[in-house]
Amino acid sequence: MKGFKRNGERLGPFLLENAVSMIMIAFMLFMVVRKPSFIRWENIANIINEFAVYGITACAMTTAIICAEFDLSASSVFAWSTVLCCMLCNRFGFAPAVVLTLLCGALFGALNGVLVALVRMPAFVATLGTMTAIKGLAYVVTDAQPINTTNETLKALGQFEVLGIGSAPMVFLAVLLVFAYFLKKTRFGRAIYATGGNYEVARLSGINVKFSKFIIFVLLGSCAALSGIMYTSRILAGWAPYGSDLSLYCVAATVIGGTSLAGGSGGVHRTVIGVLLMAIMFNALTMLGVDGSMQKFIRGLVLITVIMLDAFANKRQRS
Amino acid sequence: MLDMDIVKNITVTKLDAVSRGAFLRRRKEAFVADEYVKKLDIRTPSIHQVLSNLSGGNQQKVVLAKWLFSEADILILDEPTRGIDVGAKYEIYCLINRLTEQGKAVIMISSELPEVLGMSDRILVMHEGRIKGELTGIDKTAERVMQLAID
Amino acid sequence: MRKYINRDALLNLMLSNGILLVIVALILVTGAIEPNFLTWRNLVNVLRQNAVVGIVACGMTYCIIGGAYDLSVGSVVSMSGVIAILSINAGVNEFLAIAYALLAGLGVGIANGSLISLINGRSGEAFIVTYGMQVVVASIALFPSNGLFIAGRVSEGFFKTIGRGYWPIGLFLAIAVALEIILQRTRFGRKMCFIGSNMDAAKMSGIRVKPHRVSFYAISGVLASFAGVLLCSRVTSSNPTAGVGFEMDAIAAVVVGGTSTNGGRGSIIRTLIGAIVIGVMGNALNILDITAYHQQIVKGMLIIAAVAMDLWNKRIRARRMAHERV
Repeated sequence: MKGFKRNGERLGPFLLENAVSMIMIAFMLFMVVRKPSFIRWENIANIINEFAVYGITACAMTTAIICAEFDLSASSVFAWSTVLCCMLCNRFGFAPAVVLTLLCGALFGALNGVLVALVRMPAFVATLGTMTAIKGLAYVVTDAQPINTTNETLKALGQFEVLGIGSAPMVFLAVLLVFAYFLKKTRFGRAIYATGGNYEVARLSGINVKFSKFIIFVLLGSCAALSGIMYTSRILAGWAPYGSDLSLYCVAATVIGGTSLAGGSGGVHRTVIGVLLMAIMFNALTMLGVDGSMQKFIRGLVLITVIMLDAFANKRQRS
Repeated sequence: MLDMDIVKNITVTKLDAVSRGAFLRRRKEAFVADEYVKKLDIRTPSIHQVLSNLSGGNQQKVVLAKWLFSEADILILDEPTRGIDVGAKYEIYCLINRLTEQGKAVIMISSELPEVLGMSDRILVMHEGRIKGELTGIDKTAERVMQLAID
Repeated sequence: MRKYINRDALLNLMLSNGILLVIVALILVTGAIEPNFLTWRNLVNVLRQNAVVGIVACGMTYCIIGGAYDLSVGSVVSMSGVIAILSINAGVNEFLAIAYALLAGLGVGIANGSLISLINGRSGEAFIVTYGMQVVVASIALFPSNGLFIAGRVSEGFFKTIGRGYWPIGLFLAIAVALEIILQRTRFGRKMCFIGSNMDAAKMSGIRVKPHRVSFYAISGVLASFAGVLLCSRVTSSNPTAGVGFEMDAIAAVVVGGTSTNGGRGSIIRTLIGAIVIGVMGNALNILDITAYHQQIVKGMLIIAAVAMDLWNKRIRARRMAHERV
């Protein structure tokens, strides 16, 4: 944007693009005034611990969205991973459980990848199918009952804390850095941006578009599994209904963060902002004593508003 | 609309003309499509052929047919012969000439200089959204066009 | 050359109806194993239970042909049930109560359509807007009762009857036939196909895309609320989560029925068949002692298989046509 501070005219688009961030900041200031305990370290640590689990998958989802696809089955893979992790921990111990769960997540991701990249199925339908099937699998294997585990190593992972910040945020940070590096600095990352921007042009330019589309789903599956493992480490249980809102949460975080659904632009660093803002907002709502169904209402409204704003901002930029 | 057939693509601009009340009359549509296929010499095994299976030239003819059917008095054609083989190009030029003979006005937007010079009664040269000049009669030469364009 | 063409035609037929054939086979097998399955009574029962999802699927078909999905229908089903029962409990005339519910569904549909048209949304944005709407409407449905069932004080009358007997089936069939005629034979239906096929070309051909898109969602919303009314008329109590998951079932019915997910082509009758077939299959699996959770797995694989076959079919047809290219 050239010289937007100079021209009063350019202020408009700037406002739109950053409207969400500004609203959030205003909201946060309001919260600090209203409930000072909001800004206490305990609460902040709480927020960070909470969003880190879902945030891991959000990084992968952002990558998928940059490549112009998304994945509905992340929720089911998450749930399945919590179940599998507990079952394997009870049977075989920590290390095999983690390795196998991650592998399983990657495999499910590969299945999605094959459907979307090779069979060229629309991602929506393919992941809808896999989501339904994997959710069913999770229910069938557990007979809809939660599975508990008492594995000491897993427990230690979950309880691990430094200054109130648990292991999940650290894993999240690591994953975030890996993705950031991967997307911005490697050939493969660049290929993903290109494929998302314009599939045909990327293909004709010699980029292996099929591989790009394939690998993002594998990444998503693995990250969903990783999220599941981190979740289980805190809850020490696995149950089929867990994580049912994961997929849409990740998509929302990505969009709030400013990555466009059209693909080809954005980055994980932006998604962190999205994740952060959503976590702060919901924490704030809970602190203000807003009840369950109202929170749901606000969540839906925010999602709609954000995507409308995002679309407007993009339109301005395009023209 | 590449995955729809010729009939549907032609009648879209004036669906009222092929319907009775709220309902479409398939036979009337087919009749209209037949008419235009003959008039414009669109090469296709059947009027129900899907558009994506036609060659570029024939696809363009279908688009032209669509707007002819709308019976508009002014037609705006944006790059009407881009990417089309020479034979089809010629046929489209003849069609455009026939239209103007019938009294219709045609605004043709094109970046092919020979095409512009050969077809137009008046040439408007534009640059960055502004009209740089108008050429008629003996002024219609390649040199004058380029002069105005680069000015 | 002739043999080649015939084999392709056969393959085409098999693929575009492949899923249906498989399920029909399954049904016949189940009928052989359990004689009670293929009785009139059982089948009517199944039809009645699936009529509700079927009606929602009809509305969804319009959206899909028009190029996008409406994920909010599940919540609209729940919400309209709540509205209807609450109105009746408050003493409102039962026809008026139904009208209120339908109006609410219409409102949601118009909201969806307007928002999406406003941003000229393609399927990705439409998807998220309708998902956000789903959450919003779901919270509205939960709001009055805080998640509990509300028993309805409904006396004998119209409201009670439309959920029983042959009414749901009749209504479903009538709606499906009416919608199909509109789709195939009217200008409105033709424009729907154009918009789904290529929104930009449609706009440039003189079709007013924005109002039409709003109407697709409006129709979907009204049908969903009508389905919700039917649903709670049977049990005369409102369940605020009655419609959870309906949108997925509706999409499954459309996809299995053979309507293409790319939009621009399709048929309500196919969706009708898809819905019925999925319903009967569910019943068959129940009889074969396969639990609901197993059925989920099957449903998921079904959706994938159906779309894969449709894609394969398209590729074969494209290759065949390429031979006849002029």
